Amino acid sequence: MSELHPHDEIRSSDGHETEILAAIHETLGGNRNAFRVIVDRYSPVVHSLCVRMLGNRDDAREAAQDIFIKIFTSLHKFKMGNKTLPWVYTIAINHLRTRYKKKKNRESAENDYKQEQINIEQAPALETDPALQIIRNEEEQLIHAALSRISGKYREVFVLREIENLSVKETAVVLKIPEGTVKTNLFRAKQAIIKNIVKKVKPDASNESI
Amino acid sequence: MNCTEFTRVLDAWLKDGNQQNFPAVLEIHARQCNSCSNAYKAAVLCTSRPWTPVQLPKDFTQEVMKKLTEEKTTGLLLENIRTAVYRLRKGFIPAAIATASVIVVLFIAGLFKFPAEPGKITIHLVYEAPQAHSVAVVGDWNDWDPNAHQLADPDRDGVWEIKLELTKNNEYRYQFYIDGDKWVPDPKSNLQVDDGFGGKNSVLGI
Repeated sequence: MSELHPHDEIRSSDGHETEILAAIHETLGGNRNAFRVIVDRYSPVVHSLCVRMLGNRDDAREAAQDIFIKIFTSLHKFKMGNKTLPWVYTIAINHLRTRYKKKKNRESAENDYKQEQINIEQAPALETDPALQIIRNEEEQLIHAALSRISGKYREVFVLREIENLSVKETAVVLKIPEGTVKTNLFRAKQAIIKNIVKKVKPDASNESI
Repeated sequence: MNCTEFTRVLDAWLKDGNQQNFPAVLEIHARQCNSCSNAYKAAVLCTSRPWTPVQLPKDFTQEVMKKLTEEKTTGLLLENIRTAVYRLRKGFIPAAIATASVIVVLFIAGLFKFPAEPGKITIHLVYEAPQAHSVAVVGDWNDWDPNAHQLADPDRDGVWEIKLELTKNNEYRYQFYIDGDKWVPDPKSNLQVDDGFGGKNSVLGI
């Protein structure tokens, strides 16, 4: 439970924040190549978010690239003094929402972020035993499948808080909702995920692995 | 413990942000109860951390940088505006003149409107936002593209406006998009429906 999250290093380093702020200044000053520092730094979190939200590697890759284009064209709006990571997440979430609003005519609002097939390729990095990693991957696929069937607002809060490991405060900032709403939506998201998994798992596969 | 009690304790635990230890009573009950065991396993699954990291595609940064250079129209335009605003902040007079010119051109363009085509109707949308720096309208007619239809406030009275030509006999859903990060329904619309993200879409029937 207290393991280090893969993105913790990206979040906590003040040195890196200074480096990012310098890159923003340089890019705004006309050095487009300085933007590379920002992409290098935040591509793991942005791409990860896209994969979790979209559930499809190809879509996620394209969406993540588009998000960086959006970040590039929005650099002048960044308010110096604010943290860069929540700002990046906000742009990413807005882009993902826009992307799915475009499909609204074809799908109902409740099915936003719906995916036909869950196929997420992960880096087997957390378990040293390959067999344990296979089980872990299968379990995570189960959650992803359930995520695809719940409402967009619950999915966003679950992905940001539980998977991307943002704090309640950070999640509230990114989603522009009160911290209390983050907690309530997270609770409802978990309830909905559990309900979905229980529905999918057959009753005879019940007690043996507890 | 019965199943009702199990659900109550599980919900209380899920509500608690500090999920370090799963209550032992839940596991004890789940071992004995087929109908609760799956809920127990699902709860353990969706609260276990950290998740396995996702593999970043090879050459991702390179691809983004390449895409940036390929953005020859909108991207470059936005970059120019961005640079102009930045230089304006820095006090560069030529940039100030360039930005003012863009505003004048847009204003003049706004004065000349062709009459609506047959089968189309002109819609005048108004949104009051004195604090806003930019207001766009996104909806079914522009594929929810935030860059497609920007509202203008040339006299800076905080009232943003746009005239759109839309096809008649249609129902459109739309929202205003403020400062590039806030979605709001049209407060003047008579009908609003859930947008699936906790917000509302305005509905326009013409």
